[in-house]
Amino acid sequence: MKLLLNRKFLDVFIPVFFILYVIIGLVTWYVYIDQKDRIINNTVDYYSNYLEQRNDLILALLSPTISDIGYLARQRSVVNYAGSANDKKRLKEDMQLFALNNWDYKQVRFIDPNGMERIRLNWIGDSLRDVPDSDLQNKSSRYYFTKAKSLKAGEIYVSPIDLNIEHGQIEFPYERVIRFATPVYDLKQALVGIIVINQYMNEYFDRISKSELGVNSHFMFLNTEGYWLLGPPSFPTFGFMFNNLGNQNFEHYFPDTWKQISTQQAGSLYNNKGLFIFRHVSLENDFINGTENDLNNIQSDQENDWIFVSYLKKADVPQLLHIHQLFVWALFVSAVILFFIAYIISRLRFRERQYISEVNLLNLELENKIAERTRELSRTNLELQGVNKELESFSYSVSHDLRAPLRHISGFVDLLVKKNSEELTGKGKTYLRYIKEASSEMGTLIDDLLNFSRIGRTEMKLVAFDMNLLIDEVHQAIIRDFGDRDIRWNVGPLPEVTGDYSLLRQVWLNLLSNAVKYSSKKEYSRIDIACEEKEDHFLFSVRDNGVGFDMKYSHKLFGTFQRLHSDADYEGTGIGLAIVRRIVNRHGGHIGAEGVPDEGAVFYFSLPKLNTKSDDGN
Amino acid sequence: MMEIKTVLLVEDNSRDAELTLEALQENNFANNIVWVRDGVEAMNYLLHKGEYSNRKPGMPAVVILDLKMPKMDGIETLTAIRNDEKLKFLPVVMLTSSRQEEDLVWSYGLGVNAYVVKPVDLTDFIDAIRQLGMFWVVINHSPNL
Repeated sequence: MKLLLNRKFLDVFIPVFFILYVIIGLVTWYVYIDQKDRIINNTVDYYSNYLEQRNDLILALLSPTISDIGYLARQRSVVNYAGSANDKKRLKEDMQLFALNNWDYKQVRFIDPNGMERIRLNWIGDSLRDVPDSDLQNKSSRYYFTKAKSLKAGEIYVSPIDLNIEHGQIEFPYERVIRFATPVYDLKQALVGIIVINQYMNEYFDRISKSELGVNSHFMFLNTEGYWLLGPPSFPTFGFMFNNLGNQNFEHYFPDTWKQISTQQAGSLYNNKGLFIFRHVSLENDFINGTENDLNNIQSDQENDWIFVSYLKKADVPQLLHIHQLFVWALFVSAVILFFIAYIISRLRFRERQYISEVNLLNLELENKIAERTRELSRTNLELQGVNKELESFSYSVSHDLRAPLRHISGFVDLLVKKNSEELTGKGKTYLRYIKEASSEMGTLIDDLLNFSRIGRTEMKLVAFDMNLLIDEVHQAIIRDFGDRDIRWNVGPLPEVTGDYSLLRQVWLNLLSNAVKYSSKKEYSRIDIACEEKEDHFLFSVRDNGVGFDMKYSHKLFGTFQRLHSDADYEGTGIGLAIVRRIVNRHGGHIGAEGVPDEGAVFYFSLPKLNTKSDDGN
Repeated sequence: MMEIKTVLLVEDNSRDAELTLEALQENNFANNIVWVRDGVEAMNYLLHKGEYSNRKPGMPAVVILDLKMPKMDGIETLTAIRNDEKLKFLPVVMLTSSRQEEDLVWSYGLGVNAYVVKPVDLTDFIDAIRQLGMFWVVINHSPNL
């Protein structure tokens, strides 16, 4: 972990970590969004069902009232009502029987065409009271009266839900009330009066606001202006009825949400305030076109549509909270895990980089060493070239300077013999001949030495050629040199080889000359030339029937100016085999010899088959 | 009647010169020989300079040059001759004891007319000088210089 303090390591680590984290983060985010949508959809489905049930419930609650008021309006006692005491008594009896059927019919009234209440039955506590005539009021200015008055027979007006007002005051405790009103016509189509039923909604509201059913606590019952008729405790209800609450509607609290809720029939939306599932409820529409389609005479107030909303704060959807927590945890845990993964990857890459730079460093050192060695080698090479130059100038001197005095000795001896021989006495002439012979011998030695040194230095020109052709050529040369000698040749088949033609010609010339020369005291010379093919080289051999040699001196055979026989027996300087060895060695081959005194000798040498330039200058 | 031509012998070694002169004498060329000891003297002679500023006019039939000489050696002298407008067609023969291939190649590269290695044997040497003299002095015709 100390690596985290290393800048170069961080250069590797930070990008790796962030790339991994962005990838994992995006995947996690996708899963989170997907799960969130799924949870919201499930919640929306659930609450949509809930709102539909609420809708059905309120319809079920109100539809008996609609049946009942229609039934009451068709009773003979109502239709025949003409205002007499008897009429009133009979009507009141019917109305009492009717009101007793349903405690929620808090008020059942009969209002004459002028708006004056004629009969009024009130449920107070557990008893149904007949309100005395003196307490009856004129309701001609009330909207339910005027609305109902304009209806045809059989039609029923349904009012918005509001709070009950008595004697100009909102009744307390609040009585949420909905009014049903229907006109009564006699047989002559004359208006007899209006029947009004005030149905109290408290019991219904209590039931749907009970919080033991979790869903209820999110339920909002709004009118079309967005005022709460029922809602969670934090929102004021019936704001439209109080001067000081005039603006306390849904739009005030959720302006953006309201735009969508007020204009769409049903749906859901999820925003920063939370999740809203909503449904418009229209009594008129639901009763006429809905399941209760036998009730086709509803005249609902225009304002009498409602909006049911389920409002869930984000905290109210535990799965949403849960998935959110999971998301945060996933991000955190993956950050930790990725930290370690990135650390391991980065460490590997970092180490790799370190190794690479170390290897580079080593390479550099190696290159430096190689360069150093190369410099040393080229220095040595230069030195060698210098030595070679010196050698050349040495042999040049030998060639030029050593020969000059030799020539002078020889030349002046010749002049002496030619011009002053008469004056020489005793052994004088013999001594002059010795001087002459010695100087010419020395000339030969110098020539041989120069020749030997040149063979060691001249550049080899490697070519492929047929050894048989070379032997033919040398054969002819030998016959020329030893014209009258009886030589019996036996040449085996020879391969094609790669080498310097003229140098190898010198090899054969020297070997074959020797073979003839050292067998010259025999009746005839027999020379066998053969070649043996080995794995990677050819082994050539020359066998003669000559004087041979003692094997214990064989190490002297190929030395410079080394001889195994006296000059008197066989003339020569002893340079021939030294030259042969040098040429063979320069071709990468070896030379050897076997001999038996007076029986003959075998000389053999090898040539590599693949003769790339094997010249080592020796 | 044979026109008498001069031979310019450039040779630093007096013994060699003696032998060469002997050989030339043997062949009756000795009267017309000018012997100088190095390339500088040879160039002075050829260009009428220094001690030779008052010599008789005329060019030698052939210049016999030794290779190894003090001051200006054979190769340098040959170069100087071949680079001189007036002398560049002068016949030059190298007479040397060197058998070195590179000397030969150098000389021919510079336009030598012949390269003769001095034979060790006096008879051979006299013979070679005779042939040389016969060819360059008697047989050969050079452009008039």
